Amino acid sequence: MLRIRDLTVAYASRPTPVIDRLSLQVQPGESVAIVGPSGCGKTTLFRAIGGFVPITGGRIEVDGIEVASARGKRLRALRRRVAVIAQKHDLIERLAVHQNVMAGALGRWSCLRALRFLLLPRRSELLEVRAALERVGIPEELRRKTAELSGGQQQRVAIARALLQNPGLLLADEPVASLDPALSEQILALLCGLASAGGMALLCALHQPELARRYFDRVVDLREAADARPAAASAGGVRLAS
Amino acid sequence: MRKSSRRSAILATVGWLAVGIGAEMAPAIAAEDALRVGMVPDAGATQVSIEEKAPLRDYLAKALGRPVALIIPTNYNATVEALGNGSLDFAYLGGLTYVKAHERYGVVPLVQRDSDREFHSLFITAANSPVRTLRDLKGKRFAFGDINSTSGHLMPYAALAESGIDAETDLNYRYTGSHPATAKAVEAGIVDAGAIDESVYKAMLADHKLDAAKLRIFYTTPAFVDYVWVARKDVGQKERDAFTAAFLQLDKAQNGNILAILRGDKFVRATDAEYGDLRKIAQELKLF
Amino acid sequence: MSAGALPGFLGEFLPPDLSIGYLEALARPVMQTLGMAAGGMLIACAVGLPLGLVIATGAAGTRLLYELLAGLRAIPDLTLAILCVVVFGIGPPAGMLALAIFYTAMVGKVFADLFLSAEPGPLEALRTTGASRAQVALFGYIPLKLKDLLTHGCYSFECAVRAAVIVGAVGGGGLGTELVGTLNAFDYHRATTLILILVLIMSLLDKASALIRRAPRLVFLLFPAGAAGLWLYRPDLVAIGHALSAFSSMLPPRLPAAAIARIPRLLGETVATAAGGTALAVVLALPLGLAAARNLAPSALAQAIRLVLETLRGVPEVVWGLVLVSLIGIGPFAGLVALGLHSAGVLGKLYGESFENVRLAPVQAIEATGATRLSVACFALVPLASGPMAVHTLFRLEWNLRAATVLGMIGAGGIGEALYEAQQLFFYREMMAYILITWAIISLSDGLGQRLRQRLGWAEVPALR
Repeated sequence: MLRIRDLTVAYASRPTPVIDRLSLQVQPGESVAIVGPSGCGKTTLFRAIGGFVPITGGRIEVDGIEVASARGKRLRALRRRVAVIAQKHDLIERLAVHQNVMAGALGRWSCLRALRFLLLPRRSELLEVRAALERVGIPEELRRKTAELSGGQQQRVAIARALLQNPGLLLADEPVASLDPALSEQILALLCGLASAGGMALLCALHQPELARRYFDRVVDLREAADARPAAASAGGVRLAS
Repeated sequence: MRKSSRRSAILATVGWLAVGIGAEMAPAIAAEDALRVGMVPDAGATQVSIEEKAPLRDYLAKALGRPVALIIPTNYNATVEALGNGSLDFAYLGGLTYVKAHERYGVVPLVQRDSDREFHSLFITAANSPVRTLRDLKGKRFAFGDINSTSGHLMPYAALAESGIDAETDLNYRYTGSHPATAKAVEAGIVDAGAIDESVYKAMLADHKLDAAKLRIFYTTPAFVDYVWVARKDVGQKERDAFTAAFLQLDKAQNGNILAILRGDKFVRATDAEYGDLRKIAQELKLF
Repeated sequence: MSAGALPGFLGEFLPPDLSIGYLEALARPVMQTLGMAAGGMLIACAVGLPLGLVIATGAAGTRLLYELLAGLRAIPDLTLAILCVVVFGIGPPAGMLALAIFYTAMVGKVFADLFLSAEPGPLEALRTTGASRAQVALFGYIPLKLKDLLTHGCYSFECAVRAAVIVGAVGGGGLGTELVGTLNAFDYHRATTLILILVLIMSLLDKASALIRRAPRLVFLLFPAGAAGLWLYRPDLVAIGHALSAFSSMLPPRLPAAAIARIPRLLGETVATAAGGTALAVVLALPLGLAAARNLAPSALAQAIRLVLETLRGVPEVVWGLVLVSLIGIGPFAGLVALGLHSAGVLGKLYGESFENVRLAPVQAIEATGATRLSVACFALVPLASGPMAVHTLFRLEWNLRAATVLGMIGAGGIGEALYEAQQLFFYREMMAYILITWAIISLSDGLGQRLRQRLGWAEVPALR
């Protein structure tokens, strides 16, 4: 589903690359956790996969399509296959829950349909949203104002939005960073369960390695990967093992 | 109590606006084929007081066999441009604006008052002022009317030049925008003297809008041609003839009220040839 | 100037003509003014909102578009109205188009600035779903900034109604044309009626926009009003043909040598009008501001003074200008007083608020010495509030420079009057030259003001009129 080879991302403002020759593969149904201290390039990696930062070297493929060369419609189609759950859930607080969730479907909708939905949602569409909310465990919040929800509920809305996108690859960037431990475990269990049940590839950044080992199929430490690089460079890439 | 009075205030406002919408829509629907007649702007009239001119409108509508809308533009430039872009069919122009409108948009002169053939501008000052002749104006504060006015700007300017006064260097002058404003400015002492249309001055005295005891005429210009009714280039010959006939037929005994609105006694045909001298003066003074 | 003639004239203003017949006749001009404003704003929002979004989403060429909008905004609305009256003829269509152009630039730029300040996180989250630019706008930019959009939209609409009155003064129809007519006829009782109606409309709009901010759906009520305005005041097709040829006759701009020699004096007159008007406003606003501060003046007095300030502020500079030009005659002095009166209303309110916002502790320390109210004001309040007061005053000065050129066009001297005279005499290429000069001066002063504020680290002051 996701294949990364020798990925390098460097910013002009920093002397060393943020990501240096990283290689990684994730299969459908597999859940992989990325761990490492803050600033080790987790967020940059995710943004690079979404095509939001230019890459300096290497190659990212989603579903066999190279991200860096995709533009316009092709990039949008690619992004549709990749759902992202951000650290701060990044919902539009002014919109209601069902509108935020339905935003996940924007990639397959025309602009007019999006406008029509905002003004007059159809019953079938609301049922679709409700089904997604059921999968994340909060079906009763359908019509609430997003701003009124608790942090955990908002994160669930963000996951529901990602589900509605019907993605092949789910990227979660510190999805539990702002939640308490009990809630964190619930959300991670939910994400991993959804991945294995739905055949999605899940790539999740975390900063708690012990939590990661409990729920994920594989754990990749970005810093270790960087330390291992010089030795492995001659071998043409790092072999990342669980 | 307070709430109900507020509600009735809101209702009154809404009702008032509804009247406005009605007033605005009705002519828009009905006036598709109305002839639009532009009045002289310096009459200081408004759309509201145009109702005072209803007899003229009704007379023209009857004579032309079509509905007529009277429109009072805010200034001469607007009148001339309206003749160019087709938002007026007929209009009443001053001599200078006629010359410009003829040049730019080929408007056709139709009729004028007999007095317009022999028109005069008056130079007025305060009754107790030391100003006796045009030459006394040197260094004084002076008021012209509208910059496009023949009797309020062009001809007085020419008269001053004739007597050796260069307005640009010898006078501290300004434009008041209209004849009545010039008279008021002289009366109030805002300027030392001013130039004004004789018919407007006489009408203001007659209506007691000016205090005759406070003002004095110290110079009257030689006669010149001034106001004229014109038709837009594209107005048909039939309409032009009907319009001309309607004015020529005006008679003091029968149409006294209409002649009073037009501030005249009798109308005569107008021709472009009358304006040759005026055109030359305008060119010399670089106002054309 | 014969200031002695003033009191006699003032007596002629009262009482206002409130006869039923006159009020009934005024319904139409009021509708025209509101219709022009609504129609113009509908165009402005319909074009300005997408422009703002295009600029914010960073499509190709947006930098240029942004600069274009900023540049267009520096042409005063009255200048545009004069142009539109020449090009489209007298009446509301010209006024509406002038408003549409000016407020498209205004709305486009302000909305672009708002969108650019939106949080990036939620927007990127939307993009990751594969949403198109338009969809990101619908689900992201607009809901994120809805409150600010409404606030600025309402504010622009209020300004547009004021501007609709102003463009009427040069032939755009509605209340402005009516006001010029009554003043030309020296019918001051009716002029007072018109001004009262204007103040009333402005305070009603104020209430309406507060309502819209609470219930944003009400904004849709403006659409039928705007659509009606658009339909009623659509320019004729014939007029558009004339418009093109009229506009081409204005190019290229050109000034004769004598006129070029006059420019420094004209600019000096405009700058002096602006500076003098601001100075007059400061002198008037200081005592008024003190009397309007609720923490300082007895509440009955503060209430009364606030009403006075609201009236001064509610009447636009141009309307004050029209009245004063009629009263004390054409010339820069009328413009100066007009700027002074309107700005005194604005500054008085802002000063009052500055006094109310000062920290209490130092004031109480002075009060504890047993000082009188006036000495508390002099020794504590004025020094403490001087920072924000200086910001407001400088911003006013900048605003007044723009306003002074506009006032010239209704007879208050300076470069604006030269512009108006050139237009009146059909010297359109000269007129274009003056428009360009005006534009350059205003752009320059806007730029300088912005740089100065940035340098001093002052936050953007709300552009309260």
